[in-house]
Amino acid sequence: MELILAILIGVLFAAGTYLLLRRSIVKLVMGIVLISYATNLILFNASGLVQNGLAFLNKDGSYDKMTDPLPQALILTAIVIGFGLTAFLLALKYKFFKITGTDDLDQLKETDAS
Amino acid sequence: MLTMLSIGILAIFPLLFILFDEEQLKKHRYVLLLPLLVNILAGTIWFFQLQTGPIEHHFQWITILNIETIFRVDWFSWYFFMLINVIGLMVFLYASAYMKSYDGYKRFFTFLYIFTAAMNGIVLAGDLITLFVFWELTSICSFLLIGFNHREANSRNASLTALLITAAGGLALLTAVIWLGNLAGSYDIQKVLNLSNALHRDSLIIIFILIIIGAFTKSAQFPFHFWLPGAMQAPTPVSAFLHSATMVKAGIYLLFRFTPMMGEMVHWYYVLSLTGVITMLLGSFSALFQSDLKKILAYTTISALGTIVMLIGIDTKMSIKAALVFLLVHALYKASLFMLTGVIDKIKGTRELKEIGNLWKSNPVICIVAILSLLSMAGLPPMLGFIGKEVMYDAKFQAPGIARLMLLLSVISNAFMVFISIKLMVLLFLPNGNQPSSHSSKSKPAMMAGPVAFTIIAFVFGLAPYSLSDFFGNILSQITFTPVQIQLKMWHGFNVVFVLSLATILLGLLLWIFENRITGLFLKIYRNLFTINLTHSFQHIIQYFLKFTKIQTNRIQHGVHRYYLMIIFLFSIAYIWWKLLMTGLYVPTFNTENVSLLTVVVTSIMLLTVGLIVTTRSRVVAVVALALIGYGIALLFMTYGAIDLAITQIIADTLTMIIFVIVLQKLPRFARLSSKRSRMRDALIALSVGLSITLLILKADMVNIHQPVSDYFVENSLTKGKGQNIVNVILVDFRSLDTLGEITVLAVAAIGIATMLSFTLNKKSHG
Repeated sequence: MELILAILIGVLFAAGTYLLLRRSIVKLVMGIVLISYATNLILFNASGLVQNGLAFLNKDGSYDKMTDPLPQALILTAIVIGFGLTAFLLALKYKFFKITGTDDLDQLKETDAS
Repeated sequence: MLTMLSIGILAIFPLLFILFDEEQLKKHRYVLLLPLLVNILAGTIWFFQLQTGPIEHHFQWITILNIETIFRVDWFSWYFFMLINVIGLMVFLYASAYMKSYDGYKRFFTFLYIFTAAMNGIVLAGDLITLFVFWELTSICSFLLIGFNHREANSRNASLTALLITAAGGLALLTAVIWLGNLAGSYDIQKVLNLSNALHRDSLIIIFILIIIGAFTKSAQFPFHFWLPGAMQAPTPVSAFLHSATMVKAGIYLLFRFTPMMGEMVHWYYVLSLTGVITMLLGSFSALFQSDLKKILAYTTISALGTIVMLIGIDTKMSIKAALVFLLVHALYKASLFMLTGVIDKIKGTRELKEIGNLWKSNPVICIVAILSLLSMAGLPPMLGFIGKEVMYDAKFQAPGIARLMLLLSVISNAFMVFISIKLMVLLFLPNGNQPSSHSSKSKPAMMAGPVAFTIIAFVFGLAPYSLSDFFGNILSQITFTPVQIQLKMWHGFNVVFVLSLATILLGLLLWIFENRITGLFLKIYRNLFTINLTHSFQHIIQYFLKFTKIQTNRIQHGVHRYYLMIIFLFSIAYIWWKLLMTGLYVPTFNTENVSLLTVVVTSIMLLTVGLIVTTRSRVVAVVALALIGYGIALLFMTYGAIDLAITQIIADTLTMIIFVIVLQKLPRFARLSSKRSRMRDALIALSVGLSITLLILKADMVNIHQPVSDYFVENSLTKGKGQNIVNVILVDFRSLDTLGEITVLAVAAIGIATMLSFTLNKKSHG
């Protein structure tokens, strides 16, 4: 399964990179979302995959099939922050479009309005 | 300690300005002279101490680099020190009155104090690093003072030119200093000078070149001379002090200092004498065609500096003596003339030669002082200038090699000086028809004190030059490391030198008499000789350089984000590949251990959707596809035992999709902005990024450097955190600060979004 996951992450990264290289700002945001997803998956993959495992203890402290809890905690934080970033970017993009009327990143080269 | 005091008091004194406002300072302006008086007192004390030998102070500075600060007073530095501070005293007195009508009185004097401190630092420094630091400081002060009227473009350009030239020389000097310091194992000038025999010839030549570049730029020698006339943009006291009497002599000071080390070199002789001669002739010849009084003085200063460099280059005892005497001569008459120019400027409101005239009637005192100073400049008795010229001729006459040729050229150059002196006297003091209404015909005593004092000194020493003999003998012994006795006399007898003096004066007079006929011819020569205006060429070079850097910056900092990203990606990939190849690629065997049908299906769907995002032209499809991938990831999380992640992912993903849809409504359709070729190129980069990431992950699976810390959480979650869900316990308990940070980020993002959406920018100013 690690091989499959690695390929999936690679494809997500490739797609994210491609979108980052577009001139459209919306595509750029999508690229960022894809790459942050893929990065989360890298972390998850690194914890070692245990099918049907659970980071959960029984009442007496014993457990059956443990997965690594720490990467999960890290990823959880990352997902939330990634969401915050995306929301902010989209709001920024919205305002930017309202003021400049363009979706083209190349128009953003200069600090002064041309 | 006195050395530190004499520099320190000048540097710290401007801090007292905080206590006064500008008007108060102008009222109590005589306070300004205090530090210089202290310095002259220090000089007097040293005079008695020096009878027993040089004074030295050592201070630790950077021990690890073998750098210590040494201050050393010997006769030679004492000579310069007194020149600086006595002339400084008069210039400060003069400036305190001259600058009264200017804004920035405090600023001006702050710069001037720091400059004086730095100048004293140069001549008192006993080690090369200290000397260099003060050397650079004088360049910076000169820059600030030339550009004092910084609202005028001319001043700014002139100060920038001066700074660039002198700072370039400073860099050369720094290289030489460090090189010498390394060779000698010490920066102590005494130790370095003793090194000369041990030095390899080739490295000596390079050091020599570096040092003369430093000295020539500072002392305005050809071809670096052109910054000095530009520097006349500075207020007149600055021209009198920095650009005739002191700072431009710093280069000459350096040459004097290195004479024992390099004086024997053939290169020293030819480079210095030839540069000196060219500069001397160029200066006096160019001075003929100037109409601005300060420009005339600037060019004659260049000529005088050339003369001194030439004399140092000849490097016989006679010539060094002549250089030392001439230095004093020039400092006295030139400071005096500059100050008088300022006085005339104040009275008549102009420095244009043709517009001034008839000064004799209104201001006889100025005229007498000026005439005496001009006599000194022309090298006529009874002034000290006469002695200066005599010893100079004598030195050249007795020196071997090309000195005789230089003697001839010196006579010509001096004849020009005589001519200029006569011209100035006639045009300034005799009636010449046009008389513009004078502003105020009275000259202030504070402004006349300097010229009068210097003229009296030059006059007294001119009549009794033998009183200087012992003093110059001491200095000469110090520079050449051998005891020397010298005689200075007014009347040397009727010999070749005297004949040459007569010839000089005669030639000058002839030039004056036949001025009308000769001027045209000279002007023709001048125009043909100087078709290239060095100042302009220099500014062109600077402009082209700036253009070049602008192009270069635009190339690298082009502002197109794609290319920045591309470079980042390409370098990251290259690095990853390099690392992977260095450590060996790892390709795992495919095992079906963890694979379930569900995951395979989910992954396949995700791969298809990814393709959809990239290729679709519909915004809605792209957003839905993005959400699908998010949900797919949530499913994967769930399959491999991360329930909390799955829940969070689904919530975040849903919200992201909603926001996307809201925003997309207001946005235009996707446009195809890039060409097919650039899309192919991007795809190639993207694929190689993906491939390297995949390989990196596979490799990472094989590497297990540290024991995971997770066991700690598994063991302690229930006992310490009182929770069964370990992930939750980590988030709210073990690593609760992380979570706090995360919440803060969200809060900041929310506040940011709210403000951004609620406020409206002024549309007019943003097109």
